[in-house]
Amino acid sequence: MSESLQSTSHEEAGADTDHIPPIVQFLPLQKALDLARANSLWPLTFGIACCAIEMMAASASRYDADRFGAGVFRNSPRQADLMIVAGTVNLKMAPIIKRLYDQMPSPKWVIALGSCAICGGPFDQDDNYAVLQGVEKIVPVDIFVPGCPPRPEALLHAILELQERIKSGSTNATRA
Amino acid sequence: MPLEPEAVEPVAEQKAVYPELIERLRKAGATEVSSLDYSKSGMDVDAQVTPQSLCAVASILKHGHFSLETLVGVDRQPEFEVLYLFKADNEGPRVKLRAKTDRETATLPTLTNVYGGADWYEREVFDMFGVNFIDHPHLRPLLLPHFTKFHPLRKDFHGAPIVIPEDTVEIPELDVQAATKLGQSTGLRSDFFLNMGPQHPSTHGVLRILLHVEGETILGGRCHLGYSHRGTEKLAEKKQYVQFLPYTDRMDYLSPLNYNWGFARLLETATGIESTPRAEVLRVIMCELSRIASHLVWLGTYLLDLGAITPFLYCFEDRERILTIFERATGQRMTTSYIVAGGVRNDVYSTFSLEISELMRDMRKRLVEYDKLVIGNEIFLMRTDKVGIISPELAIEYGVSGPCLRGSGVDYDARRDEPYCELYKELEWKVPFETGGDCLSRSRVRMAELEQSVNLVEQALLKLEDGPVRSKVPKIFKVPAGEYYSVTEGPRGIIGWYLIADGSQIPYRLKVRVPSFANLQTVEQLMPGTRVADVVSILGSLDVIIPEIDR
Amino acid sequence: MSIFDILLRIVLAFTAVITFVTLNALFLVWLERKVSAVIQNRMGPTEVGPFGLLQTFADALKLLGKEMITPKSVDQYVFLLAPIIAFLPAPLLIAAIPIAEGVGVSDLNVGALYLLAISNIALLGILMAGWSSNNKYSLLGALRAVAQNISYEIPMLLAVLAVVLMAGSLKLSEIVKAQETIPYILLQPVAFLIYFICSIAESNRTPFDLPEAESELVAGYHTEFTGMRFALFFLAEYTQVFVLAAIVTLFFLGGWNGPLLHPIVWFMLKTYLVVFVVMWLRWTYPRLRSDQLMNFNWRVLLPLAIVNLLVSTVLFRGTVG
Repeated sequence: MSESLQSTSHEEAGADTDHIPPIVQFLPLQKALDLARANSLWPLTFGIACCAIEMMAASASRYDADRFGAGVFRNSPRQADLMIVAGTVNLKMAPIIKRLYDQMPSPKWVIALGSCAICGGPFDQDDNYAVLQGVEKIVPVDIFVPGCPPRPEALLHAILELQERIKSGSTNATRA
Repeated sequence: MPLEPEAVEPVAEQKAVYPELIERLRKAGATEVSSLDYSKSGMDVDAQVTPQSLCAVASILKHGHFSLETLVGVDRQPEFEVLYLFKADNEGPRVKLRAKTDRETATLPTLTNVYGGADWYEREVFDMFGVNFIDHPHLRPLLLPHFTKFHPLRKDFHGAPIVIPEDTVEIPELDVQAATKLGQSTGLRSDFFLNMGPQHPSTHGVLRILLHVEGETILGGRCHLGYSHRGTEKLAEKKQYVQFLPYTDRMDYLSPLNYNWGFARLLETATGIESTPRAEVLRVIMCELSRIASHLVWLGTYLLDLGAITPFLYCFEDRERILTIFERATGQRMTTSYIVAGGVRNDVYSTFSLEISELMRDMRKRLVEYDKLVIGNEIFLMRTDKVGIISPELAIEYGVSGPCLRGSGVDYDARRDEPYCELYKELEWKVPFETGGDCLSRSRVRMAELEQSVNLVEQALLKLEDGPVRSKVPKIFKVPAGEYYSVTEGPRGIIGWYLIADGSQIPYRLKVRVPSFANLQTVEQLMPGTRVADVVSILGSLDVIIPEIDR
Repeated sequence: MSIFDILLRIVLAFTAVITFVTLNALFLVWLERKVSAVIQNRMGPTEVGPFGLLQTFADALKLLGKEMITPKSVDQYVFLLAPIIAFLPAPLLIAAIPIAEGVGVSDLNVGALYLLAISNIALLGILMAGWSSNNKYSLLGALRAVAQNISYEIPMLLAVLAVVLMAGSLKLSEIVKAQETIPYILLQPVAFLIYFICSIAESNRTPFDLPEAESELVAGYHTEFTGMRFALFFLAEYTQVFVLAAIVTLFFLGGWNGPLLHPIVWFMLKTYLVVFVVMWLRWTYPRLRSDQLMNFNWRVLLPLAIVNLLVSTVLFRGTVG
């Protein structure tokens, strides 16, 4: 999987040439595995800016992402399945995000939360020298969540949407 | 205004000192010293200094217990100018020193020998303008990656290609060495470096600290900033005044309203527009709610840092209720853009007062619970008592502000001591302060502030009378040429806005003085001799917001 | 008994124990999430299975299917062995715990000693994990774990000694039998407190969770472990919680003694009650600092344990044959 990271767009990253060899070859088991993966998305504790607070709110009592099995925030990328890029990615941060992504074990998914992570948001303007125009330039993104910042419900929706895609095997990581 | 008697006296004294101060500045080598009208420019004394006399003049201010509020770099085309903003205690004068250097040499002497707090500010100016500060102990890029070749805030800089750099993960050897310097006083030797962040659960965002440790004892540490630098100040030079308002939300997303107010006040100072009485009351209500919300996040995340997970969820639930009110009143939960020049953007909804007074009633009960269960917890006390002591001297030298300053026994609150809102003088409240200077004192100050904010909101609600919420503001918003400074009190401390206007719709230079910047800078001084777990405790008690620091 | 019988017994026992360890850990993780949810005004897992009961199964299955990363700079063999060694005591401990009169894999005549001795093998696994990961957070976590576990071992043993002294046996069923009339928590309240505190420290739970202090050390000693290897640490941790609760039940709460209900039900009830208390503590308290942790042990717990042992030797001198 790591070779695919050199690619610049998420389309290429999910291309047929590089997929994870399935650990279990039987189709029903593969289905069961997908189901388990979908229902157990452990996000990486990783916030950059404003959106991180909404991400925290999504895991707090009122919205409670734990209901969907996505509430176990892991601090170590080695144990996380889902990277929620919550905030503005600048050039100093970009290589670190890439490394964090590399450190996560596959299959892994990325949600770009908020307009900054999608395209640089309000900070990508004339004379921009610092802000990356979207995190998909460095890691393959599965779900984009618009908003500045998006509401916690939007993040929950994104998680549910990602679950559906994992179940149907149509994400960057599980597309075989 | 129920000012405490002991607070009044030094104020009167300071006022009398001005001519004397000007005389002393002149003697130390300042040229062109003049006094300014505070109500128009936000500054009392303006002094031009030569590079040779800078340190001497600053020493005079240091002896007068002035604190260094910020450095503002300006590209005056062709030469560069660095403005040093100082403030005395309470209602004492604000002094601005101006030092010029030409574009080719671009060098100034460092102020770090006089004011330790000048360290990061000078590095920032070095980053943004390429001004070299001679004899600075560690003149390395602060916000930009270490290999950056350009200086973005120079007027002849027009953007750089967005190319992902090869590596910013490794810390350059020079910066690693700097981490060892601080710890030499402890007398221990070690080759063990611990890298904390930028992805670390307790750095509250993307702060990175390189710790030099011996076992669990910390010998020294260096902060690395800029992982959330977004070039907001450069953006400000491209945006109209009204267009820039949303960016103020995104600097400190935990208390956007306080930033809105600071920016609105800057524009009001500069243009002379006045807001309406109803708007003033709404501003106080909303900003105090915002302060409560912000302090609640602090309480929750601080306890999270100390290992208790549950308080975080309770604090967030209380905060959600405040955000619901924000959303109904302003249209957004966090990025409100509500307070604008001349008042507030729109009037509030009909059940506004009712909902808030209900919330405040519940809040009072919750605060008692928090106080008993959290702040009174034995383990909490063990983890915070006598940990990370900021002495009043250090606080003043580094320009610490807000609850961190008041936790160190310095009784200064811009709401009371800066005449920016008459309402604060009419309402009955007091500025809490503690003398310990440790994490516990800072925590107690914040807890007391929560209570005071509830007081303020409840009283302000009674003052809410019908009327317009926004005065007449010209469609095309222009600021007359000049330099303006305005100060408001945010949940983390003093939010200062320095504006250099050229009479157009766009700022010539807009600089934000953020409280977290100065507060965080003390951490390098606090760390040596503590333990790894204490760093987490100290960082949490400073309550920093990284995007605010990085801008 | 023929060799086949013995083999069959071993296989059966092994299967039973492993099944119990896994199911129990999965259940405990679910319980922990639900308990934390109740304490925190949340719902906890609800979507996967009834009451979210299958949530941890999904987690486990997912961890099984995860890529296993062995970072380049780790100490290969030690890194591979560490989770196994950390997990090893889990089935060994469960095997030695009688859950009712005659129910259990083996009721050793040195049961008490065996339990305390075996549970420390996990520490070796933790140390290996921290050392081999070549990660500074892991190393700090492992060192904290070693320092903490070795220190708390001493008052813990002294507390157990007081109980053993009263029961006059190291055999667990004997200890339980001795409590038929009155559980030792009433006769030995100080020993109970010391043992309970120490065993929480031994199993690295809040407020003594320094080895994996999330807010300081990222994930502590298992920072670098992925997938199933990480799951083994997880299994080990939760089994250890169960074992600590079971030992508390056996030593202090009268084991399976109780009126009306079946002994097994009594045992499980008491054990899960203790487990609940441990979880309750975790979701309530902040964390101590390493030096405070040590001070508490050496300055408070250890003297207290010694005094308690001396006092109970004098008081209960006559009861032991």
